Amino acid sequence: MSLTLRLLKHSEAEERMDKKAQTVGNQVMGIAFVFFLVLIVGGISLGIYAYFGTPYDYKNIDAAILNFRIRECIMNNDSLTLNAESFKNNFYSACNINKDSLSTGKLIIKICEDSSDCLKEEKPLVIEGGNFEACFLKGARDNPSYPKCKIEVIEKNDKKYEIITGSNQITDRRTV
Amino acid sequence: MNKRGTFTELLMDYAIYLILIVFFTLLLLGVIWQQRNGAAVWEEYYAKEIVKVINLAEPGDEISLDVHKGTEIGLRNEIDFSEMFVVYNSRDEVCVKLSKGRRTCYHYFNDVDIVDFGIKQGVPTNVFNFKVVEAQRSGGENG
Repeated sequence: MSLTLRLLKHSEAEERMDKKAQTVGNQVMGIAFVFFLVLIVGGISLGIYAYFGTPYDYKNIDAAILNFRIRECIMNNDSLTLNAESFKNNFYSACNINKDSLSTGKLIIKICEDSSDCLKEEKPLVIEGGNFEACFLKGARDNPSYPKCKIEVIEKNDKKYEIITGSNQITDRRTV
Repeated sequence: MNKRGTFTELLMDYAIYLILIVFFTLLLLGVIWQQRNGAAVWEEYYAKEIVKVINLAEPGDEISLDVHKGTEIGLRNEIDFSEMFVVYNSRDEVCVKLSKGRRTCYHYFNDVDIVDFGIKQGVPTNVFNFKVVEAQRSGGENG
């Protein structure tokens, strides 16, 4: 009898241990299940954002086109380069650049004449916008928050013109 | 009684897994649905490409750009041709709309106006035409 009782008690204890082991096993598998779900969904989402989410960076092109237009304008307009006063007064109309579109600060222009350091030049021919130091920062090159710049130097009539243009314009996605 | 208890526990275990799977599947579908045939990407691309051309253009230029891919996406999203590519001279910006509810805009700095713009179909592909003229400072939005 006592043997039967002992056997019964033993099997009950075994059953309780099995159940406990099963619960622990289920919990471990549950955690692993959630981990793999997060991994798969996260991986797919990251892939989609990597492919579709990265914006088409146009700032370099914007700055380069603006710089090109100004260089062409200076080379082709003799009236512009008569003197500094003439340059300042006629720049926007001669080069067909909309001054209002520059007032947002997303596009920056600085033009210096015969200057040793245009960045520090306090009396440039034209200055629109600010933060030109960002154009020369090495850390700013890969930072999407900083403007992308184009710096060119041209010579005309024995004068050296340094043209710094930059763009920090991003697309405006609006609800309609 | 034990059997019933075991069945309930079993059901609870599987229910939790099913809920988790449904939740993550919905999350994934939501992420994919947001892209919706990449309309946002193509809107940005076309807005910037059109602005690039405008910034390099001179008054008197007449320009045609192939926008067939964009119009395919726009039509699939039930956008009218007249709404897809719009130029606002008063704000010096180009706006592209290829999906409902949102549009993407980008500014140009060239001091010109864009007139007679619109989509011409089947030439042989769909093209966006426009003319570049001297800026009319007194004018409003162009249509």
